[in-house]
Amino acid sequence: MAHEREAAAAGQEAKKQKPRKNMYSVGVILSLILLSLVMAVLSPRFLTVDNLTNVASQAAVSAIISCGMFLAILTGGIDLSVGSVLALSTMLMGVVCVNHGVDPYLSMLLCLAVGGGLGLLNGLMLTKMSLPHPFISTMGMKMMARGAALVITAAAPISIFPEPVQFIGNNYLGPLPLSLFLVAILYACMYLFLTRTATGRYIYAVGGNKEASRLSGIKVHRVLNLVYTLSGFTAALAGIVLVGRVNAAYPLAGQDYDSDAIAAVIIGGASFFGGVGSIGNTIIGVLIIAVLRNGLNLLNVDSNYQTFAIGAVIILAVYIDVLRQKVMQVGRR
Amino acid sequence: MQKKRLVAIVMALVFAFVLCAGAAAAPKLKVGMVLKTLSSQYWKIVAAGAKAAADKAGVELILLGPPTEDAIEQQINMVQDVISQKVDVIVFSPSQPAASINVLNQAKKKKIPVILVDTGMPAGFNDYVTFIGTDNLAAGKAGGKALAAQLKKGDKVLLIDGAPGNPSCNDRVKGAEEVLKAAGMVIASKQPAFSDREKGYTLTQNVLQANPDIAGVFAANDEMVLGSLRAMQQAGKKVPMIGVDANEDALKSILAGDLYGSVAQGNYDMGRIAIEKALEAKAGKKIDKRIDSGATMMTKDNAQSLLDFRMSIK
Repeated sequence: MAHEREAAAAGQEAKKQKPRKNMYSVGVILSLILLSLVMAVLSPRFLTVDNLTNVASQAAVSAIISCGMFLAILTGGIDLSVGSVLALSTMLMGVVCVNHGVDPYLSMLLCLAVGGGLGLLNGLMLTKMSLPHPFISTMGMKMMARGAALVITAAAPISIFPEPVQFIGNNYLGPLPLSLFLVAILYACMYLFLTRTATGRYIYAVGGNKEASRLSGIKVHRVLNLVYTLSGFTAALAGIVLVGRVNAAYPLAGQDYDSDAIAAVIIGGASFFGGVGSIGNTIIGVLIIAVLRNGLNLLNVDSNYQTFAIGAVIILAVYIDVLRQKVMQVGRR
Repeated sequence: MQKKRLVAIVMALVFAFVLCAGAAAAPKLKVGMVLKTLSSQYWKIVAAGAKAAADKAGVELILLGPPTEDAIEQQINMVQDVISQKVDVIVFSPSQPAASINVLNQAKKKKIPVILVDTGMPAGFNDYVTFIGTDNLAAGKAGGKALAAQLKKGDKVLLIDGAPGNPSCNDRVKGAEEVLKAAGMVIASKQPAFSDREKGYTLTQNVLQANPDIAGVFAANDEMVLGSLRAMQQAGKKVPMIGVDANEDALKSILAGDLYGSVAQGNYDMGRIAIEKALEAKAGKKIDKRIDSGATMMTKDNAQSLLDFRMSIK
């Protein structure tokens, strides 16, 4: 009985979320526009084609990782291992492709498979080994994968990749980086997956209430395994873009991206408790961070302030969410 | 209607700002300098050298660096960002040289000359004006010469190297070894301690078991020589010991009479020379592909003045 009541409550909650979500979307987009306007006013270089394509190419890697991170957070979890998974899968790609001359396309497939496989391990630690929280399983994976990435070549970077590996990360179509198209396709697919397929809706449901989902017949474990596999997969995909961008794989790659991806998803309004969030807002979160970093660089601001500023934005974004929920609750009573 | 007016006002403001910025007096030269970080003492001194030279020459200096030396992607983004600001010259110290090739190719496409400081690019990459950095072989020779002066023929010496494959450390030890051998010293042991203080300590303990009569030590950096010093002190030995970097701990140890000396890199000069060469590059002058920023032997005589100078730089 109690479960049914909870499930019903969860259903009602979901119905009420619609207008709330839209309100937040407008807020996030307005913040991005406002931030861009401020940067444009302060730096005449900001609104140039050169610079905007820079921002796009800089945001691409983070955007791809954030896509998987969004799923993990949507289920009420987190994936702390994305940066390390990126490093390990690209280092392995480098070893087979550059050091052993394996076909570049095959190497890229291997990279994606390693990423997905490590992600699946993250999921299995949660569902089969019943580790209490993904914070622990993915933190363990973060360290293991980073360690392994360093061990493979004794910390040496691998460079000069064949053209196919560099294709997406290093080429432009007119002024637009190719990685931008990859991001667009990935986000469109993810949007359709989340809104138009049963599995996509299950991810929301599992995030909203695991127990209720289980009782209504959703295979919760399967959903969680899938989510973490996808998160590992997108990390590896981002890795291929990064390798293309810099023409090198190195074991310390992706260190900044763990926290940047979490920040982007949170700024994009996804609830840390799971079940609430939209993939469209996640990309806005990614752009807010990218514009902030780029703009402060253009303004010649010490990078330590950038870290500070992004931290402040995260807390502000979550606080606004908390305040809004309080208002809603008062309204409901 | 009101919304439209608001938009119009904002647009006008943006436009006005852009015009103002464009109309501001154009400086002689705009240099974008991207270092490994701006948060450590070593790099602050490089930056101070560049700032002073830029102020003197009326150069506009955009100075960037990530919070830590291993924030590689952030550093590459910073190079992109100075490229898009249309700087005249880029001064760059790559945290991960192999990963910096593509972004330097972007600079080349925009015809922005690049000057490297402290760390060079991988062999085969030649699209830079000059590389300004320590000649590590010469730095090692300076250390070896100072050590040899304290010893006599036939004395046993311990050489402590950095990680195998770390070219700066390997070159320093090579330089010291050449000079010491030429002066008639015996290399009792030459081993890597991976630039780590604790490893330098353990290594020296072990070496002393086999060679209790070590009469002098040269290490490729100060961390290792400070570890070695501790092992020597615990074994009740006092021999001349020399490191490289002249970091704060080493200078204090020299002043306390423990270490004999340390070879200081010319990091202030790296920054200064980079700005001077940027001006020359813009003027189309011919510039050497490799510039030694110098190395100075620090001993009890001059350690205090270097320490004071460092403290004067915020």
